[in-house]
Amino acid sequence: MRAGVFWLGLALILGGIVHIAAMLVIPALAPKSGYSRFETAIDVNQAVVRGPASPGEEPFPFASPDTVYVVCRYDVSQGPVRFTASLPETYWSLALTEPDGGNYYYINSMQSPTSRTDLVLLGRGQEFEPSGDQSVTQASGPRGLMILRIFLRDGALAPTMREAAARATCTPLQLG
Amino acid sequence: MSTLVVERRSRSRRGPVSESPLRSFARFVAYLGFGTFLGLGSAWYVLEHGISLDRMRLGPWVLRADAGQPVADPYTSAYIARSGHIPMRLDGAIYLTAATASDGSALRGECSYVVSGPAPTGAWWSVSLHDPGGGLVENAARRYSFSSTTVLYDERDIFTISVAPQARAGNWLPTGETGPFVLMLRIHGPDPKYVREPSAIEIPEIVTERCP
Repeated sequence: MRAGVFWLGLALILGGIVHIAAMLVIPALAPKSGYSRFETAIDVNQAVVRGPASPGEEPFPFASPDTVYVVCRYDVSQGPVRFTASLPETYWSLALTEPDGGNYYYINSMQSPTSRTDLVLLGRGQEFEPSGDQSVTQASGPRGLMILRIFLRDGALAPTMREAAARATCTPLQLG
Repeated sequence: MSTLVVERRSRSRRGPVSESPLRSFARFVAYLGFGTFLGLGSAWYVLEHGISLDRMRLGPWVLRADAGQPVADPYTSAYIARSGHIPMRLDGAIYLTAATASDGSALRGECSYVVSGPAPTGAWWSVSLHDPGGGLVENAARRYSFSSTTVLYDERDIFTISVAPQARAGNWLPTGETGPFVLMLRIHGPDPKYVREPSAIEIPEIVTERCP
């Protein structure tokens, strides 16, 4: 009887450890996480335009059908990455997202002084002197996603917004 | 009485019954398997039912306040990773999902609903209709959402969206097909008071109008 209780207690403790371990590793290993989807779908350090979402053409689950997305899967392990976009007169936001989904940087059109975004993202130990209206931020890790969301006032504006979005760039920065 | 004492002594002299090593090993493996099953099973249950520490219910709408936050609780991080959604942090956008009407019944494509309320305060908002996996639902009208700039308001600045399989006048959001669906309300650039106190969000009601 006493041995049975001992083993049952041990099994419960093991169950708790397995439960916690599973919860901690799922964000990194989930094959269909937001980051994993773009990891296989787009090249690194390259801006791609996605959306507005339509049936069968969703860039990720619960993507908005009223939003044009510019996505850059960045890797700053070899050097800084520069993201530029000239943004239309509409509400937009730019977020930097870690592979596990946490946003560590966020700006929107109401907070931005200009309609142009020029952001340099630095990796660990990297330095860069910004010029003009460039802004610089430190990446929280070597890899992640930059996502520019451009919200459509009207569905008819989608082609114009996609055109503007297609001019966005995401490139490794050559330091002189 | 003396017989009982003798009997007890003779039992204690025999000592504990020893178990064969094979049986002990089998018992160890069985409990190991049981523990692993318990851990993985509970993890699956939590993810499948969307249980997380930050989950907040506002009428029929569910908010995960930690989604997209730089440091989210592990349950939220695991749920978001598994769902594939890429949320923004709370000061960037508030995402609310509803899989039930205000009366608690599951939303179904063959039924009709009225979603109404005051416009949420923020830079931009939208209500879209998705299948439970987050995909958009095909419909002949090719209409998948209404946003703050496309929805029609009444004179009191209240919006009313008819979510129904058949065409309606005004803001009609087609359900497209039968079966369960989910509504998502996004509030981008939300009012800071919503961020401080999400329960302050004036959430739209989802009233079941007709369900065959």
